[in-house]
Amino acid sequence: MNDKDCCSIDNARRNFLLKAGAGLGALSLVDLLRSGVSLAQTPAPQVVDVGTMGTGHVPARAQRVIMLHMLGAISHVDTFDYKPTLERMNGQDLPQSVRDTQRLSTMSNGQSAFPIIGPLRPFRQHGQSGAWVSDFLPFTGAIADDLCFVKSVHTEHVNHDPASKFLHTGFQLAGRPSAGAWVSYALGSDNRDLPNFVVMNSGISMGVPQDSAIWGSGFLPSHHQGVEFRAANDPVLYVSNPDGLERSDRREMLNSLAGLAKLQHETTNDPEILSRVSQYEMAYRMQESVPEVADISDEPDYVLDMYGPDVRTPGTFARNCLIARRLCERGVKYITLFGMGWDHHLAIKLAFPGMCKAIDQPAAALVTDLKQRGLLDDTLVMFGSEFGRTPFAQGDFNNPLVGRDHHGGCFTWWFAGGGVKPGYTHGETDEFSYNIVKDPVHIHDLNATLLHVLGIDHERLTFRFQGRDFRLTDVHGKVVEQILA
Amino acid sequence: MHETVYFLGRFHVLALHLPIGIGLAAVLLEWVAARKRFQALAVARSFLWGATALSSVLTVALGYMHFSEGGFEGPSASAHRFFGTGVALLATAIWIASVKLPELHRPIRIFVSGLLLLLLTMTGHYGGNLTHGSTYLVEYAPQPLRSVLGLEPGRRRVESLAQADPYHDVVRPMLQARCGTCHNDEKRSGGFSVATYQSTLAGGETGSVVVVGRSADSELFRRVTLPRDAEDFMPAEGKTPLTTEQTEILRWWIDAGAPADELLGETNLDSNIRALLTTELGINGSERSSEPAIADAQLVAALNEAGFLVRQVSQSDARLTVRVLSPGKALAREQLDALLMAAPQIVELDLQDSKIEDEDLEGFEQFVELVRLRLSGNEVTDKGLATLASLGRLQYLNLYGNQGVTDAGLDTLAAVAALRNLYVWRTGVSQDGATRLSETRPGIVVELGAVPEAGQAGAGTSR
Repeated sequence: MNDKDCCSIDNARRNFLLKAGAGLGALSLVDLLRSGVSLAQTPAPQVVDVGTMGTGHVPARAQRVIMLHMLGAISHVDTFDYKPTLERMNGQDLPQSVRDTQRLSTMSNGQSAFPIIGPLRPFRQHGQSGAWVSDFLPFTGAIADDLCFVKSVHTEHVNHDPASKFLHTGFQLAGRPSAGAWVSYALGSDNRDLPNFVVMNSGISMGVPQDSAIWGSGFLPSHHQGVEFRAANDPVLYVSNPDGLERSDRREMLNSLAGLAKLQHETTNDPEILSRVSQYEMAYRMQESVPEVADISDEPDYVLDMYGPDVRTPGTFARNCLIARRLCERGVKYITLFGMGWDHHLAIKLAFPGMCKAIDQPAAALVTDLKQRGLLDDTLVMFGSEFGRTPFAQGDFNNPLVGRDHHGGCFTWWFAGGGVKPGYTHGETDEFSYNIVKDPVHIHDLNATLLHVLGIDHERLTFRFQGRDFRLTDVHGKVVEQILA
Repeated sequence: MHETVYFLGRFHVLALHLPIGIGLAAVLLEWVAARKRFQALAVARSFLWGATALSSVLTVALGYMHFSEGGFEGPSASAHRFFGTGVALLATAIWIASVKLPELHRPIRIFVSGLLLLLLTMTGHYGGNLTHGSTYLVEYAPQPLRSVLGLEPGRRRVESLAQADPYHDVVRPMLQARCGTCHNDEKRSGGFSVATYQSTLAGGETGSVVVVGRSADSELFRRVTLPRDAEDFMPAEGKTPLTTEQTEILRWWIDAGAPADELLGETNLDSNIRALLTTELGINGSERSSEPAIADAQLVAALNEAGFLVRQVSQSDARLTVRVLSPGKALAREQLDALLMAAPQIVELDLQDSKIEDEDLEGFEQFVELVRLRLSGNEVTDKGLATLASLGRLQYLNLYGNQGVTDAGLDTLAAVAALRNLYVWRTGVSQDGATRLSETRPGIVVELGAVPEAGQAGAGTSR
């Protein structure tokens, strides 16, 4: 062994084992022969990062995912989960037998009464599938036949931060890779000039915690983390050159840096060095690709009009939906849009209409626009929250500023495209939309299904860290086969 | 009470190894101690015979308890019981003799111990038939031996899908391997056996398990596709289940009317099921579905060099999906040639925004495996579509943004046999033309776009 190997971070143990004795080498040869893979057959290197897997365990139904996360938790009882009983019992207490001994948040567990607030607007059935959608969301209702509703999603968490982390990373604390990072790690990208995983925010969080750990890479190499696009002219921070620095100067600097990094890597074999170099290079390419994707001047008016008037303002949910479509066309694998401001403990009656208006038309337009371009077919669009909201009032029922509290026991997600059944509803809640009575879908199941749609077996996509193999779904998760076409 | 008996009964399969081992040792000792050199060992005789007798009596007792559970019918079960009981009786007799009549004539002793060995062997054999099925032992027997034993000849290794029999080559081996240890002609758990076509279709105690033509109503299909922790999931008790690919094949087989004794005509299979069957049969060098299949590295490298992103369909399907790496630029002739070189391997091809004109599509009839073709944002016209008409597997065709495509082109595309999704937003195709195509070919969904381009009449989806 030479001096270099002794300091290697990545391969120290492996090198030792491989070089220590021919016996082990012979063992691995036996392994190779048995698996039928000859050395001449190893996959060819690619010009694009196609991920560690390169291809799915099973044939993929979708190539890309767009997740629309209504952060703060959109009320499922006022949008998709229609319950005539709640209308009828408006103002009456939610029966104790329904609530049973379930945990409530500390914001409502001191209440002496739990009066039901009926749906804030009427519902109506849409399309051939006859899906019930609230009048808050007329555009979404109009595309109901393209959507697959899952009414029985449930989570273990009752507060935003753990529930959001749980949704995106499969764990309630920071530090695990986000689903987008897992997908980037497994499948890479179809575009070498844009990040594999893009995140966009819109709206005001109103105190709901949200941080980059939700789209972080955890223990995966750090270039798999989500890249946040901002609303400003300069969507990605610190990518553009400072005044006075030419692009050619930047190129020269990066070349020199790469040389130094290579020396350092030869000494330590630290994989993070390569990660960093690849990020420098990505940033360099993004100097051209990001302004191009964010510049919507080539979109004709009739397309912009689909997304509604907000689309002309950068940073709105509508604009982000349009950019998501543009990223999708360019082969970005995983796009997460946060629409913030849904935490209606207070004043839901006042705030809800405007909030819905801001997301309804854009979300529906995104689906429609993907469809007419023939992209919906292999893109999975999903819409929902970290949890739902209670059918009962938080605060005084008669106060116009009444709200709804968090409810993780059941809430609705819709899916479109990507090999899920259109015009279909899965799962069922009780007449109060409080408990699930049929086909529960846990957050782990949701993530297992998401990976499955991309061709990934959630039980086989693992990363060894601190002595154990980690998965997005930990030791849980079942693919919801019933919603797959 | 019953449950205690059943509980104890299951220990039969554990205890049975004791009389085999000890009995063999006793027989061996009996024979060896006949030689002068090992005479000293003879003192252990009655001890070993005693142990054989006690363990075999115990095993037989547990065996009867296990038997009382039910589900053991047929000749193997009664033979196993008969010989097993024989072992216990004979072993006890020998034990008593070895104590009471130590000076018994040696040839008799050797003969009797030989008899015990024979009984043990028969018992073991029939017991094995019960747990593994009677064909287990000779499954891989060479052909001469098979004919001596009067077995049906082993199936020839299938070299191509066309010569494979859907039941005998695909479904039966699959069911035999995963279900056959309990559902065989001897054991018939739940009254069901997968040994033959007839028995598989006949079902078990609860009735038929295969509703021909309707996998969704077939108990067999339902039980193997439940969540793995469901109580009714088969195979039970954590035995290796069928893979997802295999249950897909089962679904296809039942829906196709449970065909047997015929050859797979290549024409009526869609590409999905073709891929599954090919893998399951180990054609194309992929030995088994779990083994990785790896695309031709040279081909991939050539496509990479020509500016395409290449992925395999999946880890067990080495066919390719290919995407142009830098949309917006015209494709050069060499790039198109590289594609044509790989044509028979390509299932999915994305050539969006690549300034493709009609003449660039020359040779595209070579994409015989192509299922999805994205040609959006190019300059293809009706004339070019003629090349695509012969693509027998093409399901998805995206022509959005090709202004030169008109209603006349749709008439050409009506000939694409497998076509299901056609995208013609921002082309010259009219609502009438789309409706006409949907009428001639009701299976095709024509997507005209939700918003009309400025100045155009209304649009929508025709199906």
